[in-house]
Amino acid sequence: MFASSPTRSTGTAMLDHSKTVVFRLKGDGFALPVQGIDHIVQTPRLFPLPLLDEKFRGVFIFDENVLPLYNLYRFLGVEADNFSDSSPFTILFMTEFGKIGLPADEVLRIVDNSSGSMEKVDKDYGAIADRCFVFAGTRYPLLSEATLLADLTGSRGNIRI
Amino acid sequence: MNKTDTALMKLVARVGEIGFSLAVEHLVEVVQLDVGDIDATDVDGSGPELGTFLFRDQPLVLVDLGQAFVLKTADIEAEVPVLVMSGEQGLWGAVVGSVEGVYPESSFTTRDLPISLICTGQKLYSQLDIWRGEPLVCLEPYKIDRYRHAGSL
Repeated sequence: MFASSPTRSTGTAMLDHSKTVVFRLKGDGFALPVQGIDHIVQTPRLFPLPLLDEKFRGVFIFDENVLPLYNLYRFLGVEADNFSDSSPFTILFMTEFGKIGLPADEVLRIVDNSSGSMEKVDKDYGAIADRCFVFAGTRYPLLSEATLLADLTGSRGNIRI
Repeated sequence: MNKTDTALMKLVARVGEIGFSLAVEHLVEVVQLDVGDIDATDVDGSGPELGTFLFRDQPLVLVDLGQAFVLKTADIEAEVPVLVMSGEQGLWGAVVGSVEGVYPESSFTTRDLPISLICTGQKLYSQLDIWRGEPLVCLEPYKIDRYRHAGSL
């Protein structure tokens, strides 16, 4: 279990390009490259904002900044019945557009990339992942800065396999 | 309170579950308006304009801020608080749910709206104020009035 853990230093430590975090959301598993993760925290209080795109669930305050919580639920066919229905953890992920929060019910482990492999993604997750990280027989759609930004901007880049 | 002091204060108001902040330099007055004082003669109900009301003997446009921001709000009661503000083409009024008070600017931490939220298309506000652990939408009366005049609300 991870809580309030910075996964990379803001100093001079080398970024780790060889590991992947796998996590669960509503029973579905996802993967994220460790290099993009800034913090994993217990989900702070969420606030609504007017005219918020459906791609976001709300915003939260972290380190005196307002960050958006990405609505990963919409790819799972999960309707949020009420605004307070939030996952216990939030993964702060760095993108060119700043940090974005990704909800997680459970952060399973950090895996060395050599322990797994990359495969094509199922069509259901094509909108947010162009590859799957396969580990211990389970396929985890691999989220990345590129796929998240493509979703936010509504653009579709080349899909790498 | 001199002009310098008022520029360093912000008003906090609420519409539905959303909090708003407004630099007092943009605020002319807060008035309690009786629903019966609203002239809705030329209102077709398609936008956030509720009609006009008399302020210092001048008719001003009255806007439902909740509708402008597409918020779920209760029906307007007998009396409503109205923020009279400066706009692109003069003064205008915005109906809010409640006014919490006026506080020193030092109690707010202003942040630009995250780029990820801007790139999804919203244009009505561009900054947030963190106040007492809560993000408030910074009201930009000139911008809102401009969009209203353009029919974009």
